[in-house]
Amino acid sequence: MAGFFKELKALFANKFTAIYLVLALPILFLFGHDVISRRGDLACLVALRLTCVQLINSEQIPYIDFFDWSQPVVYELFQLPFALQSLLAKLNLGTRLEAVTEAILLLLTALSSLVTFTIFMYGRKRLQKAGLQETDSKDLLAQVEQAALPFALTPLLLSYFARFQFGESQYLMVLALVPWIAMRWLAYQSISLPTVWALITGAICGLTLSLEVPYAITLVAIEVLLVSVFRRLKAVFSYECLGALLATLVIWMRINQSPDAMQSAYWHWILPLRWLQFQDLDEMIQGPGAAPELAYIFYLFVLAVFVSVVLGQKFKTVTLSSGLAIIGMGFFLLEKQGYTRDIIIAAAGILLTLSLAITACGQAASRFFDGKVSALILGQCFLAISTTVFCGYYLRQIELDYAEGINPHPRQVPLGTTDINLFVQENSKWGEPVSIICDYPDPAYPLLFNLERTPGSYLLFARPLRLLMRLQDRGLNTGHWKEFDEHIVNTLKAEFTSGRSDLVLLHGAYVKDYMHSRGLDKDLAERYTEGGAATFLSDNRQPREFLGYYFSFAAWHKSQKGK
Amino acid sequence: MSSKVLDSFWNKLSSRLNERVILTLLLLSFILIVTYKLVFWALHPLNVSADQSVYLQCGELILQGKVPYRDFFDFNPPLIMYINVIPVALAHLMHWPDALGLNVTVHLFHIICVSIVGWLFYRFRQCFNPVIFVPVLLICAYYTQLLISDNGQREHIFVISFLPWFFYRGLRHFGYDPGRILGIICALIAGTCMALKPQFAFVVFVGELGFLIQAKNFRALIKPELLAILVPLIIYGICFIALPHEAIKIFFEQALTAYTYGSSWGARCSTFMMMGSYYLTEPIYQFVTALFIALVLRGKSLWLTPFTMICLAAFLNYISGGQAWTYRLLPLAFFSQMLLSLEAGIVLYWLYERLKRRIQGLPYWLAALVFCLTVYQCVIEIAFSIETYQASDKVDLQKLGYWGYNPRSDFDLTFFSILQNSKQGDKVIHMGSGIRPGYPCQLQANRPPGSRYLYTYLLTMLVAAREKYPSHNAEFDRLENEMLENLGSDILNNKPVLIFVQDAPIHQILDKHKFFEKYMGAYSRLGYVDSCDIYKLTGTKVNLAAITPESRANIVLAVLSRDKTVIEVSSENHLPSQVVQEWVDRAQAAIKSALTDRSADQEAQMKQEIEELNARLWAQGKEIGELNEQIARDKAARDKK
Repeated sequence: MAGFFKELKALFANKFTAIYLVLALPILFLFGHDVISRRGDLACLVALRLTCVQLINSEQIPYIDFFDWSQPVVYELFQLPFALQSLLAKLNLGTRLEAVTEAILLLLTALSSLVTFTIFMYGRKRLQKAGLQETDSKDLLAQVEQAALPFALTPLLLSYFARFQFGESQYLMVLALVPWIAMRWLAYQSISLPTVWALITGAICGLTLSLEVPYAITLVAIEVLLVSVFRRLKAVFSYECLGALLATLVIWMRINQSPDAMQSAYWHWILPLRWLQFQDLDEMIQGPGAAPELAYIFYLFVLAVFVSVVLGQKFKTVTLSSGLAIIGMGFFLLEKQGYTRDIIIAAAGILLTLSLAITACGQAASRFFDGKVSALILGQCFLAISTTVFCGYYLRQIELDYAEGINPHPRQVPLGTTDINLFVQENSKWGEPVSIICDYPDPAYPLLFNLERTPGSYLLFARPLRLLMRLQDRGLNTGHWKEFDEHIVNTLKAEFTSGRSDLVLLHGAYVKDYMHSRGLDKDLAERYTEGGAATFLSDNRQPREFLGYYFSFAAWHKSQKGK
Repeated sequence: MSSKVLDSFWNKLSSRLNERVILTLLLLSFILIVTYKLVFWALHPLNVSADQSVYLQCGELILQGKVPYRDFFDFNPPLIMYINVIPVALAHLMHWPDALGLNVTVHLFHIICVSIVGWLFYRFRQCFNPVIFVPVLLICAYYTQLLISDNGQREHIFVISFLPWFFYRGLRHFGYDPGRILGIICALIAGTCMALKPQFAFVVFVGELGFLIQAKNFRALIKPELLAILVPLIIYGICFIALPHEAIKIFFEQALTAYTYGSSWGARCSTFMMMGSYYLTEPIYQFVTALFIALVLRGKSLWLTPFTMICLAAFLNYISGGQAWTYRLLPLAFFSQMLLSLEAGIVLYWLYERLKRRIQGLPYWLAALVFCLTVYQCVIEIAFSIETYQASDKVDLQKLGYWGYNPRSDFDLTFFSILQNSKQGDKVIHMGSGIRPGYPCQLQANRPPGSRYLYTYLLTMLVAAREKYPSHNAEFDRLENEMLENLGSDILNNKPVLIFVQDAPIHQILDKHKFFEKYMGAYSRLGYVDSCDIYKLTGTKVNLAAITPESRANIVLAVLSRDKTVIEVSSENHLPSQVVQEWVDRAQAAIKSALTDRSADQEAQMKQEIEELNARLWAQGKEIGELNEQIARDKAARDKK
């Protein structure tokens, strides 16, 4: 034990730890306070996935009994908040699921930052141990010391940017990717973590990157970048990569252990549907406001790549961080939606690049003072000032965005409609099913989760309808697609004719066209009467983001005759 | 034994095949690439897009001695109008349509600029490693050949002109001396085209910055070409100030105001701009991929940094523009492909270095491969152009005063409507929310504009401006009134034979100002095409849509058989005599054309098709008329109640 503490002391007893704690703790504390003190602000897909797990726990089979296109591993990971909640309940510490989930996410964010910092400190210690006789080692030590804080702070700073995307897939991936990049960068400098730690960290990274199908290639892309930067192919064969590979393999094997029907649906419907999404932009996304306006991130992206062009030769970490931004931008383009949750990896890359650049400015400033002040200290001062400004700005922004999310006052309010939050609250009862059939999940989640309404429809969101209709237009709605189409039609038909939900909200032209073309509108009219309209009121910015035209929802209430 | 024979054969061959053979093969490939598209333009002499056709029209008007803004209106700064005098002059000289003049001029300009680049690559091949830079040169030569609708756009002209400058400056920064005269020529070309849009200067600046970052050669900034690039800007500025006061006033008060406040009319969200359709997504994917590969290949070529920088500048320009027009994306698409080709060249060179000792005569094989691929690609493209041309329905250009044919697919319906309802020299006005279909149809039909407003985009811009900046409504109202008064007085003075009015939103705007009552009393509604009502100058109001082609034929036949005169028939049918006279003229021309002994062509078939379409158009016009009357009756009945 004493040895362990001695090790710890050797790792952390230095000025960097002090600076790290001084910077990271307030950032984490303020953010944590914000997350814990606010309610009803879970990210859309986090709420959706928690709902899915609730359904799974009530014996429903994913993809067959409800539609959501998350990977099976997502449902397994999202069991964790439920497990923790029930554990706390057994200890007489009853807590809301939302709070448990947020606490876990907060912990993961802090862990990501801490692990990254520890990796750098480990590298520093190894370099010091090796002795600093050679100029290369001195340079490397300087680079490690310079990169430690920007890397370690990135997960924390990203949480401010992605406050309303807290826990989304890309956010989780970044939490794993930042330590991964740090670890791999050191590995290419011949500083490897102990085998067990390398395997564990690699496995966690592999697991997280498998949350969405194509994202695992990020690891490959980063590896390609590292090989090209350091011209060392041998370093690829490492325990970190082995861990990541094994984790990915285990996840794919787990899919084969799921029920046959679920497996079949996964391979024949879900995976092809996801690929289809990558090929097809919603044709309703046209004019300004038809998707969240993220042009400012594109400008920052250009700045990050510019920084990489200027500093990349000298600071190889900048090349890696800007590489991450480029990869993230690639995924944003691939997702074909334009949501903020799709650009988080790019944002993390940008944040990391700019943090590194700010720290590097210390060198220029040091030259200005004729070297009287240490470049490192100056760089960290600049970083401290920048993070303070950044956090201050975002705390204010989060306040405004949260207020707008709870009680929206957008520039445009369609006449005769109420906000969907109020509408669902007023027209449905606690615990009763409500169907919100919309191309994207944002109007329904976290709303139904917060109001504790169960999902009333097979379609937790209705993206398949648009894609299936597009296939039909091209005469490709055959085979498994047709099977899936029929499954949707039959399930919706049964839902409507049985009057499963008290309230059905239909959104947009796609849903209406689909219902009409499949005759589902008649089934709906049998037991439901149309009345009123609700709108997902928003200026199309987080936390209320939408795609396409600013349509209202047509509301259908279960009629008395049907009861 | 066999390997010895092979070795001696290669040695002999290598001694004979020297650098000239490689050069000849590459030169032939280059010539083929830069010229093969001329076949396409020759087969499509009237192919031109909306914007370019307006610039050409401006060039025509300038040649007639008119002054931009004062005598004709366009939003754009005047340089592009004056530059388009060149293709118009060429077209006049060669007796070509203006569109062909533009396409050939742009093509020649492209050949000149890319040839300068090719020469620089050859002359300084110690800097431009041939294995790396041949792919770059081929992309520079080939990219323009892929353009049809954006050929001749300002962005296109700029990127072409930028190429010699960019590579020239690169040589300067990397310590070479490519010659002062060439530098000044490149600077004058680039400077002139850089002045077309302010954001082009940003690309030039960022390119320079890229070289500075890479080479850190600040002495390269003290060179004559850097002064020379400013000369066209200064001359342009002086010429602009020298424009008549009225013109400058209109530019600032109308063009610039409306553009500043109302350009959001065609704006798109950034998501659409990045992935709206394949022609937007592909260049963006290429850009992102090229950036990533540039990181991977960092340090492998001095040119990676400047190439990356111009890509970034083009991306910034595109995003800040807020419009998803393909020509706005053109510099990004082109620079991304240049960067990708450079990266491909670097990878190729890596392979080349490893294979050159193992494969004898590798340079010759590579040059031969480039040549074969080029021949294959160009032959396929030429064959495809000819095949589609032969298979297409064509329009005889004799009607327009030119020689040859053009595929019908290059025209909008408005073109045929103009052709049918007006003669050469007749003036036409098109009032729509955009430039198309008024332009290019009017230019293609060779009909002069009937108003100083070549298009009425200004009106729709003001609609957008009102929505976005309601506090400036008074100013926008004043602009709208002024424009409509000008437009009305142009109609009264110039008496255009045809006026096209788009149903929404232009019709409503004109209605609001009682424009039809004030200025279009002498026009009768003729029909409907491309979302526009067609109005014809008839002197008095006549419901021309009610007269079917059969009735027209009877009227005309009576005149042609000399039973009655035009005046008699006109008074019997209550029609303006000029309308009947025009029908008679057209019928006579049709008879003459039909009796011309040209048995092999498809003219009769096409005419019949046109007649059938016209008959359908008339019938539908009539139906619309009846429905409108019905609506009016219903409305009147409701009002009575």
